Amino acid sequence: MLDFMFVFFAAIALAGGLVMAFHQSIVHSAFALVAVLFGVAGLYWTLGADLLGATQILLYVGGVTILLLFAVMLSTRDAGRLAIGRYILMAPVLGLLGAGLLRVYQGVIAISEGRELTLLEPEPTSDAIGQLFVDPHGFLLPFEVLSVLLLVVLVGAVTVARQQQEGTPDA
Amino acid sequence: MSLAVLTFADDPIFYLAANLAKIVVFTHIVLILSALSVLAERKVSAWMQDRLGPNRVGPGGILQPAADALKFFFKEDIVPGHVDKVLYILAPAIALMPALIVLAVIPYGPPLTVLGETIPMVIADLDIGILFVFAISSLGVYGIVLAGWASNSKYPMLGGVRASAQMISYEVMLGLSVVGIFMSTESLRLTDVITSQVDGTWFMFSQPIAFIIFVIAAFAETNRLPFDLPEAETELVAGYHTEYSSMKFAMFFIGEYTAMFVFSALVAVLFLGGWDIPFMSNADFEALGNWGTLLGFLSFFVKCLAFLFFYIWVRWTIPRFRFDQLMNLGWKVLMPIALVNVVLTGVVLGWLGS
Repeated sequence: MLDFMFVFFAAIALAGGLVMAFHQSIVHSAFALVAVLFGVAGLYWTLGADLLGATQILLYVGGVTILLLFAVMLSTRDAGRLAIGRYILMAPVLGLLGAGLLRVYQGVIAISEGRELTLLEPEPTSDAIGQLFVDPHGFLLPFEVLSVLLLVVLVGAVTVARQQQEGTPDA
Repeated sequence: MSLAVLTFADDPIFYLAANLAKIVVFTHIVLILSALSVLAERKVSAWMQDRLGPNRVGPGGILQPAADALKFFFKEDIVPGHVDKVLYILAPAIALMPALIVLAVIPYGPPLTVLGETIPMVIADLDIGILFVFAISSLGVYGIVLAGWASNSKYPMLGGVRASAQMISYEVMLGLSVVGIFMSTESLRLTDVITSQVDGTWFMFSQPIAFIIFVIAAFAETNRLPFDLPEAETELVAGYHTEYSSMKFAMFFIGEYTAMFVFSALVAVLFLGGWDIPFMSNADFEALGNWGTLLGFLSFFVKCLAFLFFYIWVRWTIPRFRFDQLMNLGWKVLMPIALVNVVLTGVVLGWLGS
């Protein structure tokens, strides 16, 4: 069952990734990104990280990608077709990244080789995560620092938007 | 006497059969109800405008939804030449899917006892229930946005852009408004929210601010009047589904009414006590056994239908907002109030706790 779930979600993520990278239309690519994020969320769920999976869908699929689509829809009609030359430029970077990933997998396989794997019944994670967020010895400080950072970003975005509005009244 | 909840390990075949039965029964109940709510919409609007409404098919027009469905199936399915074919065909399916998936985590009644095994009346009782609901219902906007874009035509496009802005904004209020509830129940599980209301007060009374914000956001999320800007007939012809015909158009319709039912069910679960009946406690439901389940089931659906009626009532009473009014209401009014509500709940809970 676990194997089936893993293969299922991994296939969704991989197929989405291929479409995203190679489709000519940018809207199709953005939509394929949804499939990728959804597949990855499914993998989180398969591994018992239910809160992480739900948050991934809520924030990335329901929020970020919609904003991305929104921007694409406002700025381009179907003009967002990518030139093939870009792929050629991207190839060496992707090759290096791929090699690095393969090295990481090699390490993971070396560590896990010869060990007995036991399946655990996944437990709900929300309670433990919540406790860690308010625990001074846990993640209280990073959590608060991050929230301040997000606030700064929010205020910064408002300031930038307002300056543009005042600078160019016709736009 | 409380028995252990049936799990896969106890009896795999019985577990699978029970779950399959739940999925089939609940999905059908909801789909039939959403078909009937289309009829209810026409009947109630007729009643409010002093007309008769549909009354030709079957006694009192009760078979009208079946006739409508038949008509949709026999209509010609036109795919305009200027559309993006893949996304154009995918969009109606994506519009319907999220609403149906959310049905999986809604608790319809107290646990049922069959052959000595306790079966919870919810398809998947997730620990992160409400987060799952918001995560999946946030996908609802994709159907509309893609339909708008794939139609490659100006009115659907405007509808799609409006929908994405509106639904992202109101999702935030939807999420923020219910934080207070989960602070007081100390659980994200929807069945816990209900059992805490069965023994205590309904959150409609102890969280009135959250209730009002949630209801407003629910109207905006389902694109119903007074927030139906993505499909405003008088401005955008029919908005995102202008270019759709036949069963594809009907899919959007079913999706909209199923989403309405889902949000009615959420209001019932979060604010109206779910399956609770006033003056009954959890022990009373348990003592009544399966009759308690039946009572709870009926009580839940009565609440859902009452809220569906409220949806329709509002549609035929209140005029449409302007888009700037919609955005101002969301970000400048509802969001600060929702945040204040969270802080207020925290202060009260801390004061009661200390």
